[in-house]
Amino acid sequence: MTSDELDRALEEALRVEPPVGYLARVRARVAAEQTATATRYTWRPIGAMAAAGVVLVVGGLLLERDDDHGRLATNTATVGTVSAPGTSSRRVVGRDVVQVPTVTRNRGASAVPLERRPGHAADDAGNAAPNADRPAALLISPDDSEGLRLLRALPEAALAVPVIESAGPQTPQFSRIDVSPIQLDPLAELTPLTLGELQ
Amino acid sequence: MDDRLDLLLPGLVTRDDDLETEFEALLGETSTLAFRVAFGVLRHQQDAEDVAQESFAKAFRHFRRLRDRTRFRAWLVRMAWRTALDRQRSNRRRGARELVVDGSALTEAARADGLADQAARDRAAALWTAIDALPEKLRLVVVLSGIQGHDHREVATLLRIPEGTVKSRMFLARQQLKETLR
Repeated sequence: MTSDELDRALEEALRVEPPVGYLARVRARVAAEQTATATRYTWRPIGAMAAAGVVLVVGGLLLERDDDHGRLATNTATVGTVSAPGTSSRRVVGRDVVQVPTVTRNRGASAVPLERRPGHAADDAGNAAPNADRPAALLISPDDSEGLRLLRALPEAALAVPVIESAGPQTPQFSRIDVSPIQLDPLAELTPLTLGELQ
Repeated sequence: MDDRLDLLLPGLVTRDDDLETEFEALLGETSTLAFRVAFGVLRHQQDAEDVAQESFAKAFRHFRRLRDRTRFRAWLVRMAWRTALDRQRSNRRRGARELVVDGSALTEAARADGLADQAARDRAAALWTAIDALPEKLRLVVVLSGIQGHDHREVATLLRIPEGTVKSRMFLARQQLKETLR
């Protein structure tokens, strides 16, 4: 078999005609694909909008939750509980609850008791606070605490409290000054000198 | 719905219509080519039609991405060829499909060429058997070169190999086919 005969045989073998109705079936398949594509493109923006809505809702919830955590952390950082010496307390730092040792100053009555709100004896996890039966106190500096103690003792001691009032901006007051006029003696009348009189 | 879309998005609808019209024209020109490529790999008429339909569906899905419309023919042939290879591997895995010469297709081809005699059918069957015995690389070059209108350069473009490689593979394939058909 020569090369030309072989090429001719190959071409004849591959000159296969499609079956009857093949083109119509291909067109039907493409039309089905068009419908599927159109449906996909129709639902795509709706799906995108739904996804955006879900993201907004979840983001809003997370932001609200962060705000709650922030308020709780701020309150805890501002007003804490003073527990018994040698014990530890739970503090909220940011989003984390950490166990920190409590250092108390031995000032006894100087601590100002803080009224405990009901329901705060246990945290969200149901853990009872270690000092639930003890009064809470403000965490203030020793100097401020001493000042507060003195202020509380004032009514009992009937001490007069020096009140320093500010009169506001003052204008300088001037009093009249009597100044006697200066009297000067008149100058002695000079007598004319004659030439050679005192020489 | 279409009227409302046309009012709202006239440019988009017109563009889609243009694309569909263009694709329809290209489909009419290349439908037989896709079928022959698939048949050259699968040697089964129903499978070849399924592969051709799948290839056109893929082509329609990605038709927007084809910037150069003049390359549609090569693009479609490559797609049909790969899809046919996937189908062939799937058939081989299942082992349920026997790759035999489709007698009905050969009969139609033989009738079209006036070669309806038994000798021609036997010769074609022997040729397909010889082609099946070729290594896959040589077989694909032979099949793509045998399809009408494909020269060495087009086959090289379809297979993304140098034109010289196509020529050398065709030379080796012819040698083996001659040996087998002797």
